Amino acid sequence: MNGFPNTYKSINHSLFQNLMDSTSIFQIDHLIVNLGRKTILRDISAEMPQGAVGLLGPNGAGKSTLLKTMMGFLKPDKGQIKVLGRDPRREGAQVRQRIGYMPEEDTYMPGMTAVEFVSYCGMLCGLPRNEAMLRAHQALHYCGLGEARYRTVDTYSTGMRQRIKLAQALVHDPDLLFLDEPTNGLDPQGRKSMLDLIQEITRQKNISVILSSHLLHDVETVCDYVLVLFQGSVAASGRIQDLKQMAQSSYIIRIKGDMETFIDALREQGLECQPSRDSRIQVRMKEKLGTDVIFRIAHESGAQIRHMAKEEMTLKEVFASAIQQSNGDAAASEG
Amino acid sequence: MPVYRQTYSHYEGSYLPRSLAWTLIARRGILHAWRKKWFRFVLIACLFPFLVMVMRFYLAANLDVLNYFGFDPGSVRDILDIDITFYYRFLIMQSFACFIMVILTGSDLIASDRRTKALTLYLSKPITRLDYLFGKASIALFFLYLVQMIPCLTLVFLYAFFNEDWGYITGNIQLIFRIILLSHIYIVPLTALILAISSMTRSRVTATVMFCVVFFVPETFVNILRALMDESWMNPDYFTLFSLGRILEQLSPIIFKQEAPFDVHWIWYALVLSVIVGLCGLILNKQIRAVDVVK
Repeated sequence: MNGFPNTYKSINHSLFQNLMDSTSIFQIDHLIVNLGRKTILRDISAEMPQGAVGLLGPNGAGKSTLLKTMMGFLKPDKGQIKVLGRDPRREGAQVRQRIGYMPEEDTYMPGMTAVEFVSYCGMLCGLPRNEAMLRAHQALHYCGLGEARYRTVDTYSTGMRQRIKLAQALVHDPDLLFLDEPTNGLDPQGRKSMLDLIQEITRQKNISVILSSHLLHDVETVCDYVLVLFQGSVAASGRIQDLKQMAQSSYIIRIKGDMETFIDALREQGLECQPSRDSRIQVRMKEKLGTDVIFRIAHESGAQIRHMAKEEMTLKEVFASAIQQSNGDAAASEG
Repeated sequence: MPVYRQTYSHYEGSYLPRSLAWTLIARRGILHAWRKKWFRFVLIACLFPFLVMVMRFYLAANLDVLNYFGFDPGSVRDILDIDITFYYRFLIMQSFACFIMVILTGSDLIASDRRTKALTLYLSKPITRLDYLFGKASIALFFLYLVQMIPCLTLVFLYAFFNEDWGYITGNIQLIFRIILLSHIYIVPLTALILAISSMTRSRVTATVMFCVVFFVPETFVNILRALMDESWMNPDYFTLFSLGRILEQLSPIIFKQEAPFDVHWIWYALVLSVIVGLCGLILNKQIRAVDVVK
């Protein structure tokens, strides 16, 4: 089967055991969430360390549902969930005190200037009035809305609304930020600047972030860890760098000799080959297969290997493979 | 270095207790309403009868003043006489102001949050749904108290003040209790109803129309049924149990020991009123959620 090794999820689980303990931002154990009659999250388990975590998956994968369950908005039908060491079902308010939430929807409180809105959000989180006003100015400056902070939010553009949603999430100094599709509706420049800001928050301000997005680029730019959801199940999870390496590796090879014979020989061994115009061949390795196979085939087919380099997968390829495997698993269980 | 890098810092102070969160919502809502000129105008108009009554109380306590305007104090003494029924009539008169204020302040309370999806924002903060509801209800309650109960209680105190008879208050504790009870008979169901309706829509206009429909349409049907019903078969007054307006109309005089307009025991009206408030509570419990669940 093409794609991730079957042991992928379990490898990641053991990989994180040493990272977790008290430093994990959330722990989910066999979580099932139904909305009405529909099962949205199907028996998912995951655990993530502090830092920037990407929640990745196509639309309808269950990302927003997972975030809302973590906030205590939705009650799990089965399983355990802990956010910052607390159970959002029983201690929802305490969890939300330490969380900043930037919703996906275009949401605001009408009739307020930006600074009133953000300070009001700060006060709702328990900041004293003067402190809330001071921090509202700071958060708005920080999010690039310093010049527009006395304008009513109703008059803001989409990009500005995204930023003010971030400012209201930041104002009370949370330990963890939930960002649900933060680059929605932004132009390329706006997207870049929003992602830069999120990166700055995680790296300079030491605030952990869970970034929910269906955009691979956003997650790859900002996050160190990723949880890939597909049809309500975990397709993959772990450190992005590790996932890329653990995923099926591929090599770029240049040979001297008959390329067609060499490719045919590789394909006979079940390896995927993709020749390119510049006389290079991309070879995707099978699980547990060493590079010595390539050298042996080259020797047998009379070709000389002149160049051979490992090609790292992009997150896009990792994501595609994970989804492909999840699809295969689902089909197998249905069969 | 950009300005923002110099400004944002971690907060090292303490957080206020969460139990105060509802007061923030209430305060913000009251100030938001007060900022509108037209709202201030309507509020003052609703308080106009109170201002007239203050003058009446003053004149009743200072009849000699009328001599300056050429009136004979003896001829108006009976007109200016104040008894328990005066307060009852004043409360009933102000119930119209209550109706206006509850629409103006209540119809957009939750509807606007649903329209702008601010409900999610509120509930993502460390506050409960009850805090949110209590805060929103307090906004409507504040203005309803302001146009009905507070003016009426103020009149009791003004009577004592103008007549320099503080024993009037201690001697009329029951009156004060009745004023408070009757005000709540109006204010609580109206607030519960407008909040429930506001939570079911995203539009102030729709909420207003729905509120008027719920209030007036059953009343019209009740009137028609009472006119058509043969009294020998059943007491047509029982139909008034289906109209909120008629329920309030029946309970009000009973509190002030006046003659009730309908021939049905008041306990039934109290029961139906409790059911209406309970239903509003159930609607609010269903509607005030951070997530819309489509079943």
